[in-house]
Amino acid sequence: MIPALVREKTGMLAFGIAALFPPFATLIPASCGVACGGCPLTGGCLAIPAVAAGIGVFSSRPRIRAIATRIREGIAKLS
Amino acid sequence: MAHPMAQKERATDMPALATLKRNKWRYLSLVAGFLLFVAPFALLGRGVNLLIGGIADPTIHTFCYRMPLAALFGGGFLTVLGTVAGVLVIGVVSASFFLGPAFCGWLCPAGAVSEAVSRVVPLSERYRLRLKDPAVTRGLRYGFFTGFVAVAVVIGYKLATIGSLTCKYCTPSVLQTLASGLTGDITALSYWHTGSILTLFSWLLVGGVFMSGGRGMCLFFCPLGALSSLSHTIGKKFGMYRVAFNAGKCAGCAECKVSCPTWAIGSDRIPDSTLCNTCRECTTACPRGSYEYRRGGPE
Repeated sequence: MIPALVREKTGMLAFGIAALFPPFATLIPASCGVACGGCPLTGGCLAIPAVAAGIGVFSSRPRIRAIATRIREGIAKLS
Repeated sequence: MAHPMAQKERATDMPALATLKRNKWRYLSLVAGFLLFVAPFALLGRGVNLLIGGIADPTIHTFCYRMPLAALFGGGFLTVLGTVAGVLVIGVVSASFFLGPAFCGWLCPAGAVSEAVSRVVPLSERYRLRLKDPAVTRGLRYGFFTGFVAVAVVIGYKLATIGSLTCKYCTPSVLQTLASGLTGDITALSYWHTGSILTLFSWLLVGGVFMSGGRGMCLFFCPLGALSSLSHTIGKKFGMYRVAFNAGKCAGCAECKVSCPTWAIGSDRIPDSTLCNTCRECTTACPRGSYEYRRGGPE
């Protein structure tokens, strides 16, 4: 059971992180809303944090972790 | 004796057909919401045009959820007060005070589509994110809302030159261009840009497929949803309509938690009014009728 104080602290931390998101989100793509286009990725780099977050969430699942461990062990045996 | 399922809170995949039958009126209402707001149907927009003699093409933009809110906090609310969108936003937030955020749970097409995608994609619940603690979900939701308000203030009062958050990441716009493109208006797809691609990605894939209930966008990125829930929370204190929990009837089966698309039900089983969208899935999912949509009274 998580003590109420810790839970509230976690909630406040979540609040702080989420509050920073909108100001930062205004800084990426160009202010007109068009893809930045400054490089060949044409804004594709913006998907990197979202993909990284998705991988983080997905890989935190116990079943996925177990599969990853088995793959690592398999690679270790091969080498 | 405790319910057998109380031994371990299940994260089951709810039988889809049973869920569909139990909540048929809500799902029919969500379909009606799509037909009312989204072009080429946009029945409500057409009705408004008939009423006031409007000539603009009726789309979901007729009822923009976001601009009136940005204008409210940016000091320009009077400019949108008489607009159709302004009336909608005032109506939704006011109705939430009395009835709860029923617009979000029963009518909003953007939320309906991501929820539908979540239910249709046959991905096991174990691969979907569901925050167990409503305090964290609440923190994320109102953190984003605070940031949205801060950006609206900065832009509205010209404190700095930054891009608008309101239109750059607009879920209803993405929905509208998708609907228009799929129904033959290919020119609608010229709208697409980085912001809309990110919005689509976070709305349907991250918030829809990979979040339990498919309401990730509503929970974390919708300013109207956050404001409606705040209005509902104040209304609840004044004894207005809400989803109430009767602990005496609860068997601890956790079907309510599993069925709640907005993760409003925590370990104490009391719906968190800052997250609840009064969809009333818990009232139909609970086998012992522990949840009731009613006015006032103790929890």
